[in-house]
Amino acid sequence: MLNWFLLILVIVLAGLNVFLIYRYTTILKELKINKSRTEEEKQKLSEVAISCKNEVELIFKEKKLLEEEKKKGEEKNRKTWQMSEAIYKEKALIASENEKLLKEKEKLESEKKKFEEKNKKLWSQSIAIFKEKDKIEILKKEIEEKHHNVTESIRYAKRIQKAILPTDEFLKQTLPNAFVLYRPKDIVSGDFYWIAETENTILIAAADCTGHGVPGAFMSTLCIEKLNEAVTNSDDVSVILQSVNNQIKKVLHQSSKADSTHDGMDVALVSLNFNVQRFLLENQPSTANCQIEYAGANRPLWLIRKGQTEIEEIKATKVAIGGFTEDEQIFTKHKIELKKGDTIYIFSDGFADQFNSDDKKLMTRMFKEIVLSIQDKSMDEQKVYLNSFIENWKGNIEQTDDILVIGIRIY
Amino acid sequence: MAENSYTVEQSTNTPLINFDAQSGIFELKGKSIPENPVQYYIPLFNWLDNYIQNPFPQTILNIQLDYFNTSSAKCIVDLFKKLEQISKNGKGETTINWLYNEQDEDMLEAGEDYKSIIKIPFNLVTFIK
Repeated sequence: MLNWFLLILVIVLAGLNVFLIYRYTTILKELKINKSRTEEEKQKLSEVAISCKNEVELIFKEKKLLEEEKKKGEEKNRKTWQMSEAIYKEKALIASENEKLLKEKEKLESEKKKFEEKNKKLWSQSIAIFKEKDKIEILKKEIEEKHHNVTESIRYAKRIQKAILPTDEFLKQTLPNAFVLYRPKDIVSGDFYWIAETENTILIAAADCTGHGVPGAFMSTLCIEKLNEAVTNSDDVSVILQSVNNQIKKVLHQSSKADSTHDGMDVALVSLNFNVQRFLLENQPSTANCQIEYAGANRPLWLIRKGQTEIEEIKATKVAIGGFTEDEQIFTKHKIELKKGDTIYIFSDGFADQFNSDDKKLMTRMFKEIVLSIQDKSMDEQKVYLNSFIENWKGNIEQTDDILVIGIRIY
Repeated sequence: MAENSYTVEQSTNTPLINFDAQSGIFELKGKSIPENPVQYYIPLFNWLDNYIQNPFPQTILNIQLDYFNTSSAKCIVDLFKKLEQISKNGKGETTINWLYNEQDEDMLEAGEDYKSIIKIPFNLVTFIK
């Protein structure tokens, strides 16, 4: 039995062994196949892996590119956004600016309208002005013509006045050592000088009629005529003035009535009574004394004795000739003895009353000083001096009044 | 009833006139050389004619002239005569102050002449210019 058992066992075992070997071989074979398959697969896989890797790399690259692209896109977007924002703002600004401009335009247009209206008005006004100007031009011409005519008429009157006044020759012949400074304010004058020679005397008057210019000249003509008349009756200065006063009042119908004019004249009248010797010596300078007589209506006489440094003033009777003066008014007569070299002055108030450009009046006090300061000069030189002095004093302002100064030096 | 005051500005040829009826103080100052003085002073005299009817108890005229022409001289007398009228009518007192430049003997003399013919208080007042 055991053997059998053993034999069976060995047989079983041998069978098992064979099976196992077979199995092993097949498994090995399978394993081999598997291995090679695996290897193949492995290779395949590694190939796949490589390709995958490549692909991944590619993908990464692509991704990177895409990301960059995206970044760029975003940047662009941002910029675009910013730009559009700026544009928007700009647009808003432009819009508001536009609005402003529009308003401005409206304003300008309304202003333009106003201007146009104004222009229209101005134009019509300027047309009116042009018309007016034409009228004024015509009027101006008329006035100029009238002024010219009046001036010419006054100039003609001046010739008459000049003809009435003593001629220079007569003056020189009658009073060789004297001067007359005569400066009318206007063309004709209310101041006048008058000289008359009688048998025994030479009469000289310095007169200042009320007013200047034309009314002054009217008065002066009348007064000269009345002086001429009076001197035919008397060569007494007091009598002459009394007569002239009376006559003028008569001619101008001057009474005490309120509506009568007060026109007349202020005057200083002097008569020179040279002694007989002078006439015997045929107008040769005399060494003898000279007696003068003076009477005045509101105008004094100044006397400077040779070598003296002050003025003796002989005061006038304080009334005018004509006007409200009594008909029989007496004008006080003064007799004065003069010596050779003594000088007398009669004058209107024009010199002392002249204003300068500072509105300062020259005044009698300064006039006296001036006259005293020129005593070393000849009478001709004195005239030149006084004339240029008053010219300088006056400067470029208007002459205040007619000016008349007469100086006579005894020789 | 007179207007309260009569005023005229000073010009080259005409004086400042300022007559105030409320205070009775009258001022006349400057030069009086209008071409036609008689015409020039008519409005003033018309005003004065009214004032004289109903004057301030004390009227004072301060007159300060540098220069006046002979025609104005007569108008100045007329002015003084009108003021004299107030005293004559017993309607008030009147005083004239004649102001003259200390150096100006012509204006002093003119003042003295007026003083001698006017019958109301007339003061000669000197000033230094």
